[in-house]
Amino acid sequence: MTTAEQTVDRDAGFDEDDAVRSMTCREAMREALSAALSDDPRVLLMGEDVGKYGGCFAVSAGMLDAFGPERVRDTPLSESAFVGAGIGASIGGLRPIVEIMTVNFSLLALDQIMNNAATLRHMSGGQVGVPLVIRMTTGGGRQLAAQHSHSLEGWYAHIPGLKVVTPSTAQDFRWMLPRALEDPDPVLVFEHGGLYAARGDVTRADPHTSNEVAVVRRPGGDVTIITYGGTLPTALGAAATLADAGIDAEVIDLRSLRPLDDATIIESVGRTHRVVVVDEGWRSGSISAEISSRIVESAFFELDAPPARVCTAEIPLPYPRHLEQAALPSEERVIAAVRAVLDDRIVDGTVARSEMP
Amino acid sequence: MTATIAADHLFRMPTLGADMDEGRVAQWLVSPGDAVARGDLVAVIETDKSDIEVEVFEPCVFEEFLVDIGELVPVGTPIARIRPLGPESPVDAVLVEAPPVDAVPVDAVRMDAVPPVDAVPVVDARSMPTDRRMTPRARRLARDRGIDVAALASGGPITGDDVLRLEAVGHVEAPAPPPGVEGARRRPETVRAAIASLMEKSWRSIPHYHVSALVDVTEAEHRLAEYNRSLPPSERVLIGALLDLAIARAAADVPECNGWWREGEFVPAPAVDLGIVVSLRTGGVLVPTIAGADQLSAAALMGRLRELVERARRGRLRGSDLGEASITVTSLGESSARTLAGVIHPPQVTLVGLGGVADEAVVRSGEVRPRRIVHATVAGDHRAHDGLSGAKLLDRLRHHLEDLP
Repeated sequence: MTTAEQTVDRDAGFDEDDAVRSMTCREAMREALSAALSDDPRVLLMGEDVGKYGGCFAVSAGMLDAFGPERVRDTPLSESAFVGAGIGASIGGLRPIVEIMTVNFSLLALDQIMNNAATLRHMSGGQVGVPLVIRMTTGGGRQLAAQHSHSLEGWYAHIPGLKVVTPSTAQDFRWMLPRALEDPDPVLVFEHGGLYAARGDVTRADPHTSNEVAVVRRPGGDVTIITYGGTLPTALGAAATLADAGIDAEVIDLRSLRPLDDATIIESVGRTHRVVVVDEGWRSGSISAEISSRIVESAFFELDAPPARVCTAEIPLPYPRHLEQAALPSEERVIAAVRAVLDDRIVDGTVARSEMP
Repeated sequence: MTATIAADHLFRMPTLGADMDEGRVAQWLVSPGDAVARGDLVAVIETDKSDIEVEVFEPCVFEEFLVDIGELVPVGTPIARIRPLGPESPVDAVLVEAPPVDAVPVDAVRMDAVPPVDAVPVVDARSMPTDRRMTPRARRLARDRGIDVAALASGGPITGDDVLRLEAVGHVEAPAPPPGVEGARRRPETVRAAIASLMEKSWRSIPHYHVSALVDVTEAEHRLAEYNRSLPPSERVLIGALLDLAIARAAADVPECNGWWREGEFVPAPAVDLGIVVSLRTGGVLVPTIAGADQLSAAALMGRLRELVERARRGRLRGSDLGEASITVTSLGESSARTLAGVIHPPQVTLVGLGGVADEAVVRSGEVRPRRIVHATVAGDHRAHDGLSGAKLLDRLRHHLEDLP
């Protein structure tokens, strides 16, 4: 791929504001990175194998040639060091994008992320911010076994001082990055490894006003399915199957796990009165637990059924494909959970309707 | 019942059936100062469905009435101050000598259900008995809109949609009638709403199957005529009572048809408590219950039937008439309609529908003969049992009819 193809000329792009292009999430993120490097000389990309190798998941393929080794930097296998370097660079005025190969390796940099990036603005009385973007691949389903298949975004969403976003569509892979770079504080971008090859439409400008709003990906009136990232296709697939059975599920893509868009969640539950949270994280202490709890706190008197959750089995993720798939949230499990919360309304497989005043 | 309730010597608005949460005293059958014995009728309580005569279970003296006639009060509200009488004390004796109050058993006055300790001042879902669960949304809607959910069927939690549906059919809290209206009238529109809600819930949630059989009652009618020959009209047994008894005994033989569907599983009933559908002249139906029906003689069951029909049509069912049935029978009696494929009364799992008796041509031993035939149809809850059980119930019905009266 040539530099010309990689680089987006924003001025030229305005002529085609309405143009919608189909691309994979990998291509969308590559375009987002290239655009950021083109647009802002303060931006650099650093991480293991992002340069010569083109990125472990080929996201940054060709970018070393396009932008040179100063701005696309291969780092040693030392997460704590290069995340720390990214923090220092951002304090010094640059806008680094640090790529961590997979989420498990971020644990080696947890001290930098949690004790430095997340805290410095507060500990300095507002004098020192850390405008750092950290990208990492998350999630299972690709037979990478127990050490490379975690979904720890819910963990990171626990930490004040961080923002956690989870793109789930090509559109969000393209447009969440520039918004993250605009943020004066650290933003963690969790890219589900199963989504890189997924294709979707990308517009010439971000259709959303913020990274921090949840989006209704499928409107529906019978039940709200809340999810994010890698399980969005699972939830949408389940909703399509349920629609064939006459059950009209609404699917909300959270997009941001910290902050959470409570308003969108509560508004939807206020209409459907039933909710299923789908989360690839483990159930105990998960983001799905947080969401369920907020719904009970804020919408208790709207509920016609207890909130249900579909999470990953609480085991280190197995390597064999059939065991791994059995452990992860599946369309079948989402469908079963939806049917369970709709139990008293389902007659002959479809939701009983009644005319309301 | 707790000692607190016994100690305060209050007679409270009883729960007359699982779906009652408020009621009115339509009439006192005692006066202040009257002493009553166990089993005496003391008041007529008006509920949404019916007027019910309330008995006391232990001797006591009614000292003072605490509510006005016709005043709508939640279940558990004190409606009279009483002075319990010890079980050893004959009523006449204690009228001159006050009894030792401490000797009174805790449940000196007891109805068929324990009233909640916390009397609530307005229609409030929290006063619902625990077996009628409501979702948080349903509770909020019922409270905010003043909707009395007593008319909703039991089985599964009451949802917000159920409450809105009830509101849509106009079943909101009825205004209290003027005080002093004698035996305040049962409200037919409320009965209709209760039936509507129950039947809708049944048809929506229960996968019904129906199986039918022809029941030849020719011989039974002959035996019955013989049996009735020497009896005065008031003691004669009707063929309908024989069929009801045969159904009750058949239900004892086919236990999977006799019980309730609760929380996703079948719960067999410990006895055959037969619900009898009684149609009202004002429209609608009531379903009083004959407890232990399979153990009764034909004459005893006929006696219970006469009482129940008479009291139901007068709108004066007693609390003891409204026990929870384990299986229900509905009959078209003298009608020319032949087959009744009914709707199950949840949470029961079986309803037997009987058409009228009529002459039919039946082939017996290669010959066509006129016989007296009733079409019996089992409506079964297919979650709880299968068509074979319904067919078995009909076989056992025919078998038991051979031994009756």
